[in-house]
Amino acid sequence: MTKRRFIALVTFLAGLYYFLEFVVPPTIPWRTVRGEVVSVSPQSITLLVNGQQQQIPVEPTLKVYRERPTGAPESVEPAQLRPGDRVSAGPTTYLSDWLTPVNNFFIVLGSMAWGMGLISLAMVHSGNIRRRRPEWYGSVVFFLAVGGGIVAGLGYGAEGGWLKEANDVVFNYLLRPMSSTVFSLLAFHMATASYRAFRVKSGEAALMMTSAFVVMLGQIPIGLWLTHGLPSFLQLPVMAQWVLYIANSAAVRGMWFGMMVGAIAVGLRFWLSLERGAFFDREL
Amino acid sequence: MEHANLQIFIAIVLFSFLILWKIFTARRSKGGFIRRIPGLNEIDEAIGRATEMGRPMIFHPGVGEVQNVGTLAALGVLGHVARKAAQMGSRVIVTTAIPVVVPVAEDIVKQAYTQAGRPELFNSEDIRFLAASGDQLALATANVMEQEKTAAHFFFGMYDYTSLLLTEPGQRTGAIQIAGTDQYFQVPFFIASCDYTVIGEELYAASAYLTREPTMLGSLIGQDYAKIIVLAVIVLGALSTTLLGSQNFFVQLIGVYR
Repeated sequence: MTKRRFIALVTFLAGLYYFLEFVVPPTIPWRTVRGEVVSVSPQSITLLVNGQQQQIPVEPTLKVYRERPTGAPESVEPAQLRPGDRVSAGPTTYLSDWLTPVNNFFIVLGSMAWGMGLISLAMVHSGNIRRRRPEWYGSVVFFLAVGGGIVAGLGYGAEGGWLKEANDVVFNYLLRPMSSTVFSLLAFHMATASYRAFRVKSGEAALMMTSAFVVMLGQIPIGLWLTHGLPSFLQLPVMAQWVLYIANSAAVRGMWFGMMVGAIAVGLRFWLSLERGAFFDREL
Repeated sequence: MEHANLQIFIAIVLFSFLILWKIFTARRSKGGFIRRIPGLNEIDEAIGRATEMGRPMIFHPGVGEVQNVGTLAALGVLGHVARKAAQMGSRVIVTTAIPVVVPVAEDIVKQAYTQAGRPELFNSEDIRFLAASGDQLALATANVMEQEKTAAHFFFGMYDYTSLLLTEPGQRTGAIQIAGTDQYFQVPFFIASCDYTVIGEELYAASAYLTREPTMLGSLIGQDYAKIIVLAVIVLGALSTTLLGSQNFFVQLIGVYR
Protein backbone atom coordinates (compact mmCIF):
# COMPACT_ATOMS: atom_id res chain seq x y z
CA MET A 1 0.00 0.00 0.00
CA THR A 2 2.87 2.35 0.83
CA LYS A 3 4.37 1.94 -2.63
CA ARG A 4 1.06 2.70 -4.28
CA ARG A 5 0.46 5.78 -2.15
CA PHE A 6 3.98 7.02 -2.74
CA ILE A 7 3.59 6.67 -6.51
CA ALA A 8 0.20 8.42 -6.37
CA LEU A 9 1.66 11.27 -4.28
CA VAL A 10 4.69 11.81 -6.54
CA THR A 11 2.48 11.64 -9.65
CA PHE A 12 0.07 14.17 -8.14
CA LEU A 13 2.81 16.62 -7.12
CA ALA A 14 4.59 16.42 -10.47
CA GLY A 15 1.30 16.84 -12.33
CA LEU A 16 0.29 19.72 -10.08
CA TYR A 17 3.48 21.60 -10.92
CA TYR A 18 2.93 21.28 -14.68
CA PHE A 19 -0.77 22.15 -14.34
CA LEU A 20 -0.05 25.27 -12.30
CA GLU A 21 2.81 26.26 -14.59
CA PHE A 22 0.38 26.15 -17.50
CA VAL A 23 -2.58 27.96 -15.95
CA VAL A 24 -0.85 30.51 -13.69
CA PRO A 25 0.39 33.52 -15.69
CA PRO A 26 4.20 33.82 -15.72
CA THR A 27 4.00 37.32 -14.21
CA ILE A 28 1.72 38.66 -11.46
CA PRO A 29 -1.29 39.90 -13.50
CA TRP A 30 -2.14 43.05 -11.47
CA ARG A 31 1.49 44.22 -11.50
CA THR A 32 2.17 43.41 -15.15
CA VAL A 33 2.55 46.31 -17.57
CA ARG A 34 1.89 45.87 -21.28
CA GLY A 35 3.22 48.34 -23.84
CA GLU A 36 5.70 49.28 -26.54
CA VAL A 37 9.40 49.59 -25.77
CA VAL A 38 10.69 53.17 -26.05
CA SER A 39 14.18 52.70 -24.62
CA VAL A 40 16.18 50.24 -22.56
CA SER A 41 18.95 50.90 -20.05
CA PRO A 42 20.63 48.49 -17.60
CA GLN A 43 18.56 50.06 -14.79
CA SER A 44 15.12 50.38 -16.40
CA ILE A 45 12.86 49.79 -19.39
CA THR A 46 10.75 52.66 -20.67
CA LEU A 47 7.42 51.56 -22.11
CA LEU A 48 4.72 53.49 -23.94
CA VAL A 49 1.50 52.50 -22.18
CA ASN A 50 -1.78 54.05 -23.40
CA GLY A 51 0.11 57.01 -24.86
CA GLN A 52 2.10 57.67 -21.67
CA GLN A 53 5.68 56.70 -20.91
CA GLN A 54 6.21 54.44 -17.92
CA GLN A 55 9.52 53.35 -16.42
CA ILE A 56 9.91 49.75 -15.25
CA PRO A 57 12.93 49.19 -12.97
CA VAL A 58 15.05 46.18 -13.95
CA GLU A 59 15.02 43.95 -10.88
CA PRO A 60 16.05 40.30 -10.44
CA THR A 61 12.38 39.28 -10.20
CA LEU A 62 11.37 41.08 -13.42
CA LYS A 63 10.22 38.89 -16.30
CA VAL A 64 9.77 40.33 -19.77
CA TYR A 65 7.76 38.63 -22.52
CA ARG A 66 8.02 39.87 -26.09
CA GLU A 67 4.96 39.40 -28.30
CA ARG A 68 5.45 37.68 -31.62
CA PRO A 69 3.34 37.95 -34.79
CA THR A 70 2.55 34.24 -34.44
CA GLY A 71 2.82 31.87 -31.51
CA ALA A 72 3.14 32.44 -27.81
CA PRO A 73 5.14 35.39 -26.38
CA GLU A 74 8.84 34.64 -25.82
CA SER A 75 10.73 35.25 -22.60
CA VAL A 76 13.59 37.69 -23.20
CA GLU A 77 16.25 39.49 -21.17
CA PRO A 78 15.83 43.30 -20.97
CA ALA A 79 19.09 43.74 -22.91
CA GLN A 80 17.57 41.86 -25.88
CA LEU A 81 14.74 44.38 -26.26
CA ARG A 82 14.63 46.85 -29.14
CA PRO A 83 12.54 50.06 -29.40
CA GLY A 84 9.18 49.21 -30.97
CA ASP A 85 8.92 45.73 -29.43
CA ARG A 86 5.53 44.97 -27.86
CA VAL A 87 6.16 43.48 -24.44
CA SER A 88 4.54 42.63 -21.14
CA ALA A 89 6.72 42.99 -18.05
CA GLY A 90 6.11 42.24 -14.42
CA PRO A 91 7.33 40.40 -11.31
CA THR A 92 7.68 36.65 -11.84
CA THR A 93 5.32 34.09 -10.33
CA TYR A 94 8.38 31.76 -10.16
CA LEU A 95 6.61 28.70 -11.56
CA SER A 96 7.89 29.17 -15.12
CA ASP A 97 11.40 29.91 -13.80
CA TRP A 98 11.55 26.34 -12.54
CA LEU A 99 10.37 24.77 -15.79
CA THR A 100 13.83 24.14 -17.25
CA PRO A 101 15.31 22.60 -14.05
CA VAL A 102 12.22 20.41 -13.60
CA ASN A 103 12.37 19.30 -17.25
CA ASN A 104 16.08 18.61 -16.86
CA PHE A 105 15.33 16.50 -13.78
CA PHE A 106 12.98 14.33 -15.84
CA ILE A 107 15.53 14.10 -18.65
CA VAL A 108 18.13 12.87 -16.13
CA LEU A 109 15.59 10.42 -14.70
CA GLY A 110 14.79 9.22 -18.22
CA SER A 111 18.46 8.83 -19.09
CA MET A 112 18.84 6.45 -16.15
CA ALA A 113 16.34 4.23 -17.92
CA TRP A 114 18.82 3.82 -20.77
CA GLY A 115 20.86 1.74 -18.38
CA MET A 116 17.78 -0.42 -17.71
CA GLY A 117 17.27 -0.73 -21.45
CA LEU A 118 20.82 -1.94 -21.91
CA ILE A 119 20.40 -4.40 -19.04
CA SER A 120 17.21 -5.71 -20.65
CA LEU A 121 19.04 -6.18 -23.96
CA ALA A 122 22.01 -7.85 -22.25
CA MET A 123 19.69 -10.25 -20.40
CA VAL A 124 17.90 -11.32 -23.59
CA HIS A 125 21.10 -11.83 -25.55
CA SER A 126 23.07 -13.51 -22.79
CA GLY A 127 20.10 -15.88 -22.40
CA ASN A 128 20.28 -16.63 -26.13
CA ILE A 129 23.97 -17.51 -25.86
CA ARG A 130 23.62 -19.56 -22.66
CA ARG A 131 20.75 -21.64 -24.00
CA ARG A 132 22.19 -21.86 -27.51
CA ARG A 133 18.92 -20.65 -28.98
CA PRO A 134 18.62 -20.50 -32.78
CA GLU A 135 20.85 -17.78 -34.22
CA TRP A 136 22.58 -17.35 -30.85
CA TYR A 137 25.70 -16.19 -32.67
CA GLY A 138 23.72 -13.02 -33.52
CA SER A 139 23.73 -12.31 -29.80
CA VAL A 140 27.53 -12.63 -29.72
CA VAL A 141 27.62 -10.04 -32.50
CA PHE A 142 25.34 -7.86 -30.37
CA PHE A 143 27.86 -7.79 -27.49
CA LEU A 144 30.72 -7.13 -29.91
CA ALA A 145 28.70 -4.32 -31.53
CA VAL A 146 27.88 -2.73 -28.15
CA GLY A 147 31.57 -2.80 -27.20
CA GLY A 148 32.57 -1.44 -30.60
CA GLY A 149 29.84 1.21 -30.45
CA ILE A 150 30.97 2.42 -27.02
CA VAL A 151 34.59 2.69 -28.20
CA ALA A 152 33.58 4.40 -31.46
CA GLY A 153 31.31 6.77 -29.51
CA LEU A 154 34.38 8.08 -27.68
CA GLY A 155 35.51 9.55 -30.98
CA TYR A 156 32.47 11.84 -31.25
CA GLY A 157 33.63 15.40 -31.83
CA ALA A 158 37.30 14.38 -32.10
CA GLU A 159 39.41 16.31 -34.62
CA GLY A 160 41.43 13.35 -35.79
CA GLY A 161 42.98 10.05 -34.82
CA TRP A 162 41.78 6.46 -34.95
CA LEU A 163 38.86 7.11 -32.59
CA LYS A 164 37.41 9.66 -35.01
CA GLU A 165 37.95 7.18 -37.86
CA ALA A 166 36.13 4.51 -35.86
CA ASN A 167 33.30 6.94 -35.09
CA ASP A 168 32.92 7.82 -38.77
CA VAL A 169 32.95 4.17 -39.83
CA VAL A 170 30.38 3.03 -37.27
CA PHE A 171 27.96 5.95 -37.30
CA ASN A 172 28.37 7.58 -40.72
CA TYR A 173 29.40 4.71 -43.00
CA LEU A 174 27.50 1.83 -41.38
CA LEU A 175 24.57 2.97 -39.24
CA ARG A 176 23.31 5.79 -41.44
CA PRO A 177 23.24 3.83 -44.74
CA MET A 178 21.63 0.90 -42.95
CA SER A 179 18.90 3.18 -41.56
CA SER A 180 18.31 4.57 -45.05
CA THR A 181 18.03 1.02 -46.37
CA VAL A 182 15.39 0.18 -43.77
CA PHE A 183 13.54 3.39 -44.61
CA SER A 184 13.55 2.49 -48.29
CA LEU A 185 11.78 -0.76 -47.45
CA LEU A 186 8.74 1.39 -46.76
CA ALA A 187 8.17 1.83 -50.49
CA PHE A 188 7.69 -1.92 -50.94
CA HIS A 189 5.57 -2.23 -47.82
CA MET A 190 3.39 0.63 -49.07
CA ALA A 191 2.92 -1.12 -52.40
CA THR A 192 1.76 -4.38 -50.82
CA ALA A 193 -0.43 -2.58 -48.26
CA SER A 194 -2.01 -0.46 -51.01
CA TYR A 195 -2.72 -3.57 -53.05
CA ARG A 196 -4.65 -5.07 -50.14
CA ALA A 197 -6.40 -1.80 -49.32
CA PHE A 198 -7.62 -1.39 -52.90
CA ARG A 199 -9.42 -4.72 -52.99
CA VAL A 200 -13.06 -3.73 -52.85
CA LYS A 201 -14.58 -5.92 -50.16
CA SER A 202 -17.28 -3.64 -48.74
CA GLY A 203 -19.10 -0.38 -49.30
CA GLU A 204 -16.58 1.53 -47.16
CA ALA A 205 -13.66 -0.03 -49.06
CA ALA A 206 -15.28 1.02 -52.37
CA LEU A 207 -15.69 4.58 -51.06
CA MET A 208 -12.08 4.65 -49.88
CA MET A 209 -10.83 3.33 -53.19
CA THR A 210 -12.88 5.84 -55.17
CA SER A 211 -11.65 8.79 -53.12
CA ALA A 212 -8.05 7.52 -53.30
CA PHE A 213 -8.43 7.16 -57.08
CA VAL A 214 -9.76 10.73 -57.40
CA VAL A 215 -7.01 12.16 -55.17
CA MET A 216 -4.22 10.28 -56.95
CA LEU A 217 -5.41 11.24 -60.44
CA GLY A 218 -6.09 14.79 -59.28
CA GLN A 219 -2.46 15.21 -58.23
CA ILE A 220 -0.97 14.37 -61.63
CA PRO A 221 -1.29 16.16 -65.00
CA ILE A 222 -3.24 13.32 -66.60
CA GLY A 223 -6.11 14.03 -64.20
CA LEU A 224 -6.54 17.52 -65.61
CA TRP A 225 -6.04 16.26 -69.16
CA LEU A 226 -8.80 13.67 -68.76
CA THR A 227 -11.35 16.06 -67.32
CA HIS A 228 -10.44 19.51 -68.70
CA GLY A 229 -13.59 19.57 -70.86
CA LEU A 230 -15.93 19.14 -67.90
CA PRO A 231 -17.32 21.92 -65.67
CA SER A 232 -14.69 23.02 -63.18
CA PHE A 233 -16.32 21.33 -60.15
CA LEU A 234 -16.12 17.98 -61.96
CA GLN A 235 -12.46 18.29 -62.90
CA LEU A 236 -10.28 15.80 -61.05
CA PRO A 237 -7.78 18.33 -59.56
CA VAL A 238 -10.69 20.37 -58.12
CA MET A 239 -12.37 17.25 -56.75
CA ALA A 240 -9.05 16.06 -55.29
CA GLN A 241 -8.56 19.38 -53.51
CA TRP A 242 -12.12 19.19 -52.18
CA VAL A 243 -11.56 15.68 -50.81
CA LEU A 244 -8.22 16.68 -49.26
CA TYR A 245 -9.05 20.06 -47.80
CA ILE A 246 -12.81 20.01 -47.14
CA ALA A 247 -13.99 16.44 -46.52
CA ASN A 248 -10.71 15.23 -45.03
CA SER A 249 -10.15 18.34 -42.90
CA ALA A 250 -13.65 18.10 -41.43
CA ALA A 251 -13.11 14.46 -40.48
CA VAL A 252 -9.63 15.10 -39.08
CA ARG A 253 -10.80 18.08 -37.00
CA GLY A 254 -13.63 15.98 -35.62
CA MET A 255 -11.06 13.37 -34.62
CA TRP A 256 -8.85 16.04 -33.10
CA PHE A 257 -11.59 17.46 -30.88
CA GLY A 258 -12.39 13.99 -29.60
CA MET A 259 -8.72 13.18 -29.04
CA MET A 260 -7.98 16.41 -27.19
CA VAL A 261 -10.90 15.90 -24.81
CA GLY A 262 -9.83 12.25 -24.47
CA ALA A 263 -6.28 13.36 -23.69
CA ILE A 264 -7.58 15.62 -20.89
CA ALA A 265 -9.53 12.66 -19.46
CA VAL A 266 -6.55 10.27 -19.65
CA GLY A 267 -4.28 12.95 -18.16
CA LEU A 268 -6.69 13.54 -15.29
CA ARG A 269 -7.02 9.82 -14.56
CA PHE A 270 -3.25 9.39 -14.40
CA TRP A 271 -2.65 12.61 -12.51
CA LEU A 272 -5.13 11.69 -9.80
CA SER A 273 -4.21 7.97 -9.94
CA LEU A 274 -7.78 7.09 -10.87
CA GLU A 275 -6.70 4.76 -13.68
CA ARG A 276 -8.02 1.39 -12.60
CA GLY A 277 -7.64 -2.05 -14.03
CA ALA A 278 -4.32 -1.30 -15.63
CA PHE A 279 -2.01 0.26 -13.08
CA PHE A 280 -1.52 -0.02 -9.37
CA ASP A 281 -4.89 -1.57 -8.58
CA ARG A 282 -3.28 -4.19 -6.39
CA GLU A 283 -0.03 -4.13 -4.49
CA LEU A 284 2.48 -6.70 -5.70
CA MET B 1 6.39 29.36 -23.44
CA GLU B 2 2.74 28.41 -23.68
CA HIS B 3 0.36 29.58 -20.97
CA ALA B 4 -3.39 29.27 -20.67
CA ASN B 5 -5.45 32.36 -21.38
CA LEU B 6 -8.68 32.91 -19.45
CA GLN B 7 -10.84 31.01 -21.96
CA ILE B 8 -8.54 27.98 -21.98
CA PHE B 9 -8.36 28.05 -18.19
CA ILE B 10 -12.17 28.05 -17.94
CA ALA B 11 -12.41 25.25 -20.53
CA ILE B 12 -9.87 23.07 -18.69
CA VAL B 13 -11.54 23.59 -15.32
CA LEU B 14 -15.00 22.95 -16.78
CA PHE B 15 -13.95 19.79 -18.67
CA SER B 16 -12.01 18.49 -15.68
CA PHE B 17 -14.99 19.12 -13.41
CA LEU B 18 -17.35 17.29 -15.81
CA ILE B 19 -15.03 14.30 -16.13
CA LEU B 20 -14.39 14.03 -12.37
CA TRP B 21 -18.08 14.52 -11.58
CA LYS B 22 -19.08 11.70 -13.92
CA ILE B 23 -16.28 9.48 -12.57
CA PHE B 24 -17.51 9.84 -8.99
CA THR B 25 -21.16 9.51 -10.06
CA ALA B 26 -20.36 6.33 -11.98
CA ARG B 27 -18.52 4.89 -8.98
CA ARG B 28 -21.71 5.13 -6.96
CA SER B 29 -24.09 3.93 -9.68
CA LYS B 30 -21.81 1.16 -11.01
CA GLY B 31 -23.21 1.42 -14.50
CA GLY B 32 -22.91 3.00 -17.91
CA PHE B 33 -23.33 2.12 -21.54
CA ILE B 34 -20.45 2.10 -23.97
CA ARG B 35 -20.84 1.54 -27.70
CA ARG B 36 -19.25 -1.48 -29.34
CA ILE B 37 -15.69 -1.02 -30.61
CA PRO B 38 -14.93 -4.01 -32.89
CA GLY B 39 -11.14 -3.69 -32.72
CA LEU B 40 -11.17 -3.93 -28.94
CA ASN B 41 -13.71 -6.76 -28.96
CA GLU B 42 -11.31 -8.82 -31.05
CA ILE B 43 -8.44 -8.54 -28.56
CA ASP B 44 -9.75 -11.42 -26.43
CA GLU B 45 -10.42 -13.42 -29.60
CA ALA B 46 -6.81 -12.90 -30.74
CA ILE B 47 -5.41 -13.90 -27.34
CA GLY B 48 -7.58 -17.02 -27.34
CA ARG B 49 -6.44 -17.93 -30.82
CA ALA B 50 -2.77 -17.53 -29.93
CA THR B 51 -3.30 -19.66 -26.82
CA GLU B 52 -5.00 -22.41 -28.82
CA MET B 53 -2.10 -22.41 -31.26
CA GLY B 54 0.36 -22.54 -28.38
CA ARG B 55 2.22 -19.50 -29.69
CA PRO B 56 3.18 -16.24 -28.00
CA MET B 57 1.88 -12.75 -28.77
CA ILE B 58 3.64 -9.48 -29.39
CA PHE B 59 2.56 -6.22 -27.82
CA HIS B 60 4.16 -3.05 -29.16
CA PRO B 61 3.33 0.12 -27.17
CA GLY B 62 4.23 2.56 -29.96
CA VAL B 63 7.20 4.83 -30.37
CA GLY B 64 6.08 7.63 -28.03
CA GLU B 65 7.79 8.46 -24.76
CA VAL B 66 6.18 7.12 -21.61
CA GLN B 67 4.55 10.48 -20.79
CA ASN B 68 2.78 10.53 -24.18
CA VAL B 69 -0.99 10.12 -23.77
CA GLY B 70 -1.09 7.49 -26.52
CA THR B 71 1.63 5.47 -24.77
CA LEU B 72 -0.21 5.70 -21.46
CA ALA B 73 -3.41 4.48 -23.12
CA ALA B 74 -1.42 1.69 -24.79
CA LEU B 75 -0.01 0.59 -21.45
CA GLY B 76 -3.60 0.35 -20.21
CA VAL B 77 -4.36 -2.03 -23.09
CA LEU B 78 -1.17 -3.96 -22.28
CA GLY B 79 -2.52 -4.50 -18.76
CA HIS B 80 -5.63 -6.14 -20.20
CA VAL B 81 -3.75 -8.22 -22.78
CA ALA B 82 -1.28 -9.44 -20.14
CA ARG B 83 -4.09 -10.28 -17.70
CA LYS B 84 -5.98 -12.32 -20.31
CA ALA B 85 -2.79 -14.01 -21.48
CA ALA B 86 -1.94 -14.88 -17.87
CA GLN B 87 -5.41 -16.32 -17.28
CA MET B 88 -5.05 -18.47 -20.39
CA GLY B 89 -1.46 -19.38 -19.60
CA SER B 90 -0.05 -17.72 -22.69
CA ARG B 91 3.05 -15.58 -23.29
CA VAL B 92 3.17 -11.88 -24.18
CA ILE B 93 6.36 -10.42 -25.62
CA VAL B 94 6.64 -6.63 -25.34
CA THR B 95 9.04 -4.90 -27.71
CA THR B 96 9.98 -1.25 -27.40
CA ALA B 97 12.55 1.33 -28.43
CA ILE B 98 11.84 3.51 -25.39
CA PRO B 99 13.95 2.44 -22.40
CA VAL B 100 11.64 4.07 -19.83
CA VAL B 101 8.82 1.85 -21.06
CA VAL B 102 10.76 -1.30 -20.10
CA PRO B 103 10.35 -1.09 -16.29
CA VAL B 104 6.76 0.17 -16.58
CA ALA B 105 5.76 -2.63 -18.97
CA GLU B 106 7.61 -5.15 -16.84
CA ASP B 107 5.67 -4.02 -13.77
CA ILE B 108 2.34 -4.19 -15.61
CA VAL B 109 2.94 -7.67 -17.05
CA LYS B 110 4.38 -9.01 -13.80
CA GLN B 111 1.37 -7.64 -11.90
CA ALA B 112 -1.01 -9.28 -14.40
CA TYR B 113 0.62 -12.71 -14.06
CA THR B 114 0.75 -12.38 -10.27
CA GLN B 115 -2.93 -11.41 -10.08
CA ALA B 116 -3.86 -14.35 -12.29
CA GLY B 117 -2.05 -16.65 -9.87
CA ARG B 118 0.56 -17.60 -12.48
CA PRO B 119 3.68 -15.67 -11.43
CA GLU B 120 5.91 -18.52 -12.63
CA LEU B 121 4.87 -17.79 -16.23
CA PHE B 122 6.28 -14.29 -16.10
CA ASN B 123 9.66 -13.96 -17.76
CA SER B 124 11.39 -10.58 -17.61
CA GLU B 125 13.22 -11.46 -20.86
CA ASP B 126 9.87 -11.11 -22.64
CA ILE B 127 9.95 -7.35 -22.04
CA ARG B 128 12.46 -6.41 -24.67
CA PHE B 129 14.20 -3.15 -25.37
CA LEU B 130 15.36 -4.12 -28.84
CA ALA B 131 16.80 -0.97 -30.36
CA ALA B 132 17.13 2.73 -29.75
CA SER B 133 15.40 3.90 -32.92
CA GLY B 134 12.06 3.12 -34.48
CA ASP B 135 13.21 1.61 -37.76
CA GLN B 136 15.77 -0.64 -36.07
CA LEU B 137 13.10 -1.70 -33.61
CA ALA B 138 10.73 -2.52 -36.46
CA LEU B 139 13.34 -4.82 -38.01
CA ALA B 140 14.11 -6.44 -34.67
CA THR B 141 10.39 -6.92 -33.93
CA ALA B 142 9.91 -8.52 -37.36
CA ASN B 143 12.74 -10.86 -36.44
CA VAL B 144 10.99 -11.76 -33.17
CA MET B 145 7.82 -12.48 -35.16
CA GLU B 146 9.72 -14.92 -37.36
CA GLN B 147 11.73 -16.56 -34.58
CA GLU B 148 8.96 -16.93 -32.02
CA LYS B 149 6.26 -17.67 -34.62
CA THR B 150 3.91 -15.27 -32.87
CA ALA B 151 0.19 -15.71 -33.51
CA ALA B 152 -1.19 -12.31 -32.47
CA HIS B 153 0.26 -8.83 -32.72
CA PHE B 154 -1.00 -5.77 -30.88
CA PHE B 155 0.18 -2.33 -31.92
CA PHE B 156 -1.19 0.37 -29.66
CA GLY B 157 0.08 3.86 -28.96
CA MET B 158 1.76 6.64 -30.86
CA TYR B 159 3.25 5.69 -34.22
CA ASP B 160 5.32 7.30 -36.93
CA TYR B 161 6.47 6.06 -40.35
CA THR B 162 7.58 2.79 -38.76
CA SER B 163 3.95 1.61 -38.51
CA LEU B 164 4.15 -0.16 -41.86
CA LEU B 165 7.62 -1.53 -41.13
CA LEU B 166 6.07 -3.28 -38.14
CA THR B 167 2.74 -4.41 -39.51
CA GLU B 168 3.65 -5.57 -43.01
CA PRO B 169 6.12 -8.26 -41.84
CA GLY B 170 3.46 -9.22 -39.27
CA GLN B 171 0.87 -9.53 -42.03
CA ARG B 172 3.14 -11.96 -43.88
CA THR B 173 3.42 -14.24 -40.84
CA GLY B 174 -0.37 -14.74 -40.90
CA ALA B 175 -0.82 -13.55 -37.32
CA ILE B 176 -3.99 -11.72 -36.35
CA GLN B 177 -3.09 -8.03 -36.00
CA ILE B 178 -4.92 -5.36 -34.02
CA ALA B 179 -3.70 -1.78 -33.99
CA GLY B 180 -4.76 1.47 -32.38
CA THR B 181 -3.21 4.89 -32.72
CA ASP B 182 -4.01 8.53 -32.12
CA GLN B 183 -1.79 9.56 -35.05
CA TYR B 184 -4.28 9.91 -37.88
CA PHE B 185 -1.57 9.91 -40.57
CA GLN B 186 -0.77 6.32 -39.61
CA VAL B 187 -4.40 5.17 -39.47
CA PRO B 188 -4.64 4.33 -43.23
CA PHE B 189 -1.49 2.21 -42.99
CA PHE B 190 -2.89 0.28 -40.07
CA ILE B 191 -6.24 -0.17 -41.81
CA ALA B 192 -4.42 -1.57 -44.85
CA SER B 193 -2.15 -3.93 -42.97
CA CYS B 194 -4.03 -4.97 -39.81
CA ASP B 195 -7.16 -7.01 -39.25
CA TYR B 196 -8.70 -4.47 -36.88
CA THR B 197 -7.87 -0.85 -36.23
CA VAL B 198 -8.83 1.33 -33.29
CA ILE B 199 -8.92 4.96 -34.39
CA GLY B 200 -8.10 8.16 -32.54
CA GLU B 201 -9.91 8.66 -29.26
CA GLU B 202 -11.07 5.02 -29.23
CA LEU B 203 -7.52 4.33 -28.09
CA TYR B 204 -8.04 6.55 -25.05
CA ALA B 205 -11.32 4.76 -24.35
CA ALA B 206 -9.67 1.35 -24.64
CA SER B 207 -8.91 0.91 -20.93
CA ALA B 208 -12.50 1.79 -20.01
CA TYR B 209 -13.91 -0.48 -22.69
CA LEU B 210 -11.77 -3.46 -21.75
CA THR B 211 -11.97 -3.22 -17.97
CA ARG B 212 -15.57 -1.87 -17.65
CA GLU B 213 -14.48 -0.24 -14.42
CA PRO B 214 -17.05 2.36 -13.26
CA THR B 215 -14.26 4.92 -12.83
CA MET B 216 -13.18 4.55 -16.43
CA LEU B 217 -16.72 4.44 -17.80
CA GLY B 218 -17.56 7.58 -15.85
CA SER B 219 -14.55 9.28 -17.40
CA LEU B 220 -15.88 8.39 -20.87
CA ILE B 221 -19.29 9.84 -20.08
CA GLY B 222 -17.60 13.01 -18.79
CA GLN B 223 -15.67 13.21 -22.08
CA ASP B 224 -18.92 13.01 -24.01
CA TYR B 225 -20.38 15.90 -22.00
CA ALA B 226 -17.24 17.91 -22.76
CA LYS B 227 -17.58 17.09 -26.46
CA ILE B 228 -21.19 18.30 -26.43
CA ILE B 229 -19.94 21.63 -25.07
CA VAL B 230 -17.25 21.83 -27.78
CA LEU B 231 -19.86 21.04 -30.41
CA ALA B 232 -22.21 23.70 -29.04
CA VAL B 233 -19.41 26.29 -29.15
CA ILE B 234 -18.62 25.35 -32.77
CA VAL B 235 -22.28 25.62 -33.83
CA LEU B 236 -22.79 28.92 -31.98
CA GLY B 237 -19.52 30.28 -33.41
CA ALA B 238 -20.46 29.31 -36.96
CA LEU B 239 -23.99 30.73 -36.61
CA SER B 240 -22.93 33.99 -34.98
CA THR B 241 -20.13 34.54 -37.52
CA THR B 242 -22.50 33.83 -40.40
CA LEU B 243 -25.25 36.09 -39.07
CA LEU B 244 -23.30 38.85 -37.28
CA GLY B 245 -19.85 38.92 -38.88
CA SER B 246 -16.48 37.82 -37.55
CA GLN B 247 -16.18 40.45 -34.77
CA ASN B 248 -19.37 39.60 -32.91
CA PHE B 249 -19.69 39.30 -29.14
CA PHE B 250 -19.62 35.50 -29.01
CA VAL B 251 -16.48 35.17 -31.12
CA GLN B 252 -14.69 37.76 -28.99
CA LEU B 253 -15.87 35.98 -25.85
CA ILE B 254 -14.28 32.71 -26.84
CA GLY B 255 -11.17 34.56 -27.98
CA VAL B 256 -10.83 33.19 -31.52
CA TYR B 257 -9.49 36.40 -33.07
CA ARG B 258 -7.33 37.53 -30.17
